[in-house]
Amino acid sequence: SSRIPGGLHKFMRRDAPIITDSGGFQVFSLAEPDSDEDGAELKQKRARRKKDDAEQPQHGKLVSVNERGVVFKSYRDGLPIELTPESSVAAQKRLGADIIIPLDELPPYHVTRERLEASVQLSHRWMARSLRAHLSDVRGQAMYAVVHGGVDRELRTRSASYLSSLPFDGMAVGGSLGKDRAEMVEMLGWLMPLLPRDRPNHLLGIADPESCAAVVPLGVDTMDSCNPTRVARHGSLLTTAGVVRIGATRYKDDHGPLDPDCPSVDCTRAYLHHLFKQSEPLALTLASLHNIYYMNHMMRDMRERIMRDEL
Amino acid sequence: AALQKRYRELSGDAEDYKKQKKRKAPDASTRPPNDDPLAAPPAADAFPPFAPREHFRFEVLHESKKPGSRARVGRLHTPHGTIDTPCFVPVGTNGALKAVDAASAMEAGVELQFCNTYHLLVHPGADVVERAGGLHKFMRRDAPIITDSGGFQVFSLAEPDSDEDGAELKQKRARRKKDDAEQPQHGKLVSVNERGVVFKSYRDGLPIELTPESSVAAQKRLGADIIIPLDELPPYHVTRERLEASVQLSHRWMARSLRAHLSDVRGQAMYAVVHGGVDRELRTRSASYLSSLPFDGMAVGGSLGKDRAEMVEMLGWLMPLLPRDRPNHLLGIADPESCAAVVPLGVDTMDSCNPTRVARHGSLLTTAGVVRIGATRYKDDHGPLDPDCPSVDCTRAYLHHLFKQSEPLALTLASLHNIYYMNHMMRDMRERIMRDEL
Repeated sequence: SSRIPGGLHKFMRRDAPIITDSGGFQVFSLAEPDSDEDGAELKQKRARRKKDDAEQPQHGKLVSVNERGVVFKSYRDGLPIELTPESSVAAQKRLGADIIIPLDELPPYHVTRERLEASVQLSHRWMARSLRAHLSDVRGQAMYAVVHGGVDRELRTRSASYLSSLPFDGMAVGGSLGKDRAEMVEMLGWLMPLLPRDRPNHLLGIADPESCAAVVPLGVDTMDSCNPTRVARHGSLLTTAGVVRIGATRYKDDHGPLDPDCPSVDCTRAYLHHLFKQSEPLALTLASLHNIYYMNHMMRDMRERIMRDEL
Repeated sequence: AALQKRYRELSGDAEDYKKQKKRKAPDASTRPPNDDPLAAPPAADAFPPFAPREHFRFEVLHESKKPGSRARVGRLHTPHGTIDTPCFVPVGTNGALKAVDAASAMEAGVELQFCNTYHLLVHPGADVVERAGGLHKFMRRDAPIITDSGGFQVFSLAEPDSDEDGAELKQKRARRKKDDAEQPQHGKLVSVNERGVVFKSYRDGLPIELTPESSVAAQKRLGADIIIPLDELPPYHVTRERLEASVQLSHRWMARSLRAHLSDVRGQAMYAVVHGGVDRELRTRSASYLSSLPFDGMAVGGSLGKDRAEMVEMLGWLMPLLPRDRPNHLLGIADPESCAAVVPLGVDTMDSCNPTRVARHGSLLTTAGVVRIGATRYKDDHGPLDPDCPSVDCTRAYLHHLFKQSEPLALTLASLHNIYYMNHMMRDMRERIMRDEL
């Protein structure tokens, strides 16, 4: 909350672009007792994630949703926190990120069409209020709209059309994109062309390597996810030759680099294997850094292939 | 068969151990000479005289002229770089500082780092580290490293509720037990005899034998710049007879270790470990005997009393017995107050997990005292961690926030800060010694 002198960039010592969300996603997705951070992520490995010992369960309770906004209970101290379109924008103004996102409602996966349509309209009204609040005090920030509509093509089309007509700086794609990657690719196939080509777009909460490879050709510009760093903490290194589960015995005596085709952290497989086996915290750091290097290497490679018209 | 192969890999002494196992009674190598636990170790004339080596040199830059002070500023030259003394030595148990990578440690000024042979023997084993090119290459630290023999953990972790700093003043033991992040790594001590010790690996329960010779062999494979011979660590409460026998056993072990080391020096330096508990006579004898052998330096190990005051009193008469022309090292004690107390007594290097451990628990060491960063008053404090000691680029509010939200980065930044602080403190002490103020 509140005062961060200098904003988020100074607070976390990151003098480079930052994007914040509205707070809405966690409010809605963590309200469920067994939800977790990637409510929107394809839920293939949910059971395994539940066993995360290091991940502290951070569940808030959703108290109310209405035209005004949402009220939820802080998981820190149980106190109610209200989040409205205006208060979310105000908070993001104080945080000072480069790109901000308006409050939207995230309906559950299984809803009636009536409920979904009402949700999309509510989100639209919220986003219009957010945009107004933002435009009254731009402060060097950009605001992205969030296209909704679940898996309903008609609602998605209407959402894209309405939000594109407003002066948002970019378009984010949120909400449910189907039950698996194939459905997501199919959806984005008809959705992405509906977004304005002259503005950047962002895919919310999906950026594991296979998904990145699938959505870039569909026109996605930026995509966020906890996945690459989370799998790192669990010992899975992303490499040009596939996933390397560094805890496997065959790496105990492997003194080569983590990925021969992708320079990353200065560390051998044997050493990182050893750190995981001995539960050394440094394992988390080196593995996470490697996966970040890898993802950036992969994206750079994709950019080059696009430049050569190969992608 | 696979287990046997693994065992051989670890102990390197397959045939002898197999024979020993098959006998009903222990063979002669497990009994002291003439069955006398007080049997004398080899005399100094059985060894070449001490001489400084090309690859390891201790330069005394200044001895404090302050009356009563035995502090000195020195420089240790090793194959992997120099060490300014007095120096704080952080402990990277498993060949890694907890949550701090090698490059950051170097930036923070870590000139000598301690690694535990015991844990490295349990995983990944000396052979793997050797194939990596040695510990420096394995952990990517191109700067001085010191390893111990493995003995300390064997003896101190044998107790079910022991922990890494058996020798540390045990004030906060109860709180340390609640360490959630610290994985309990208890091995079981199986046997101790003339030959060496046998303990069970906490990883897979297999027996690992540690003898003076095998410990030296392992440390040769690890390749640290300074190595330490196997010694026995008796419990705190022992009879004088038992303590004397322990000192003699340690002496016999250390003589064997020195011999093994001298037969293949490999650019390493070996420190002796002075023992004798709190018994002045035994300590004096130990210092005298070990000083007569060509060790490159003298470490002080074993029990130093029940609190800091006793330790200071002991070191007050013990340090003067050590050769002034060789570096000395205080094992396992280097919290800030102890450092301040022992440097004037002439200690050159000192190691401890304490500064980095307290960091992980949210205690920052600063020029104004301990800052418990989790306290509410720091939530909105956007100043540096220590205004008088540059360290990591991070505010108190941010680090407070990271701890409150259980972010792993908190461990890294706090540990790094405490390392910066300890180095700052030691540098300050060196300057004061140069000015004869300490």
